[in-house]
Amino acid sequence: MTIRSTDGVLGTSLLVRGTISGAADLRLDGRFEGELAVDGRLVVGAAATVAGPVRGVSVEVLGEVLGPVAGQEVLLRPSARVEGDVRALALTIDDGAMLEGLIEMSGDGSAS
Amino acid sequence: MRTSVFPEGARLVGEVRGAGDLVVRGTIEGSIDLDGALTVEASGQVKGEVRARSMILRGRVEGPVVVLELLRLDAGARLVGDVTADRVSAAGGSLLSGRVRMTGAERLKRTSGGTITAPFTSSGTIAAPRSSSGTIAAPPSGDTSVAHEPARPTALPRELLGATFSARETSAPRPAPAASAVLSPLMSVAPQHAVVTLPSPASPVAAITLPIPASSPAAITLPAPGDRPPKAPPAAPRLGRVQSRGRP
Repeated sequence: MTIRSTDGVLGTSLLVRGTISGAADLRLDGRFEGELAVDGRLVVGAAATVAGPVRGVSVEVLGEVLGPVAGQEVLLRPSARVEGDVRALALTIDDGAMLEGLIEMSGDGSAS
Repeated sequence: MRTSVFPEGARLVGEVRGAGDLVVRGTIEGSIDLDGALTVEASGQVKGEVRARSMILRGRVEGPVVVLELLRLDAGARLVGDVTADRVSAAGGSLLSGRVRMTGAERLKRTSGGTITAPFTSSGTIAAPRSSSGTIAAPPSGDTSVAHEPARPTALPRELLGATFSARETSAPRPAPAASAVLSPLMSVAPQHAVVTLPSPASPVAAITLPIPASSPAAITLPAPGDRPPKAPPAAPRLGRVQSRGRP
């Protein structure tokens, strides 16, 4: 899953606080504190830290998430570190990824 | 450093802080504090306080804006709020509503308070209009604080008479029809303006700002006393009439 160059990127040197919503693809490389819920693809980069719930149509985690992760498709890459519950229709956990939380694979992850 | 992009369709209620460049294509409700270049594209909207090193606006911003360097408003930009910036440029078709404070202009005033150390060849004396130096006249098109009429005796305040100024002046020694004082671009901070500072005992500093057309070199003409403003060019020959040369 790759993010197109025209999509959103929040760089490593940025700190974003609050609530991000809407229909967009987003790659997070910096620090985010708040609620992240987009109708699109979401990538939490290896250098990123997210403190709060994360929701997208598909969510790929390479960095750190302190909060629940939800999506129709959730991928936890080897560098991922998630402290929170994961809800997904399809879940991939690569070898090396760390997860501390509950996994629920029954419902539609993109719905709240 | 990679440029951050807040994408179109996304909406942030909160704040953005940090370093690096940021392009806003979506909606941000909250403050932005960025040590970098901020671009708000035509699809972008920001409601809140904005601080950035430099800023290009093509979309909409509502809120106070503080920019350390240049704030540029492109056509279609809409900015409602007070602005503090070193420089502001606004293209035709942009909308700016609010109090604007350009700190670059203040710096220009401050730096002109001292002596001018531009590489001038010699220094002269501003004398009374009856003497040979004449009055500093501005190009007729530019608006300036100096009177346009070269011969008006009240063009120079009393306290300025006798004050020295630094400029290359060639009219005093020899009867040249027009003397030119070349103001080097080095002396002015803003490229569009040259500032001549006239220190005098009565008032500590008197500055004359002369706007310089962008196309022409920075030159100010000091007309000699006998000079008159150039006459209008002769009227074009009327059509349908043959003009003969030679014989009357």
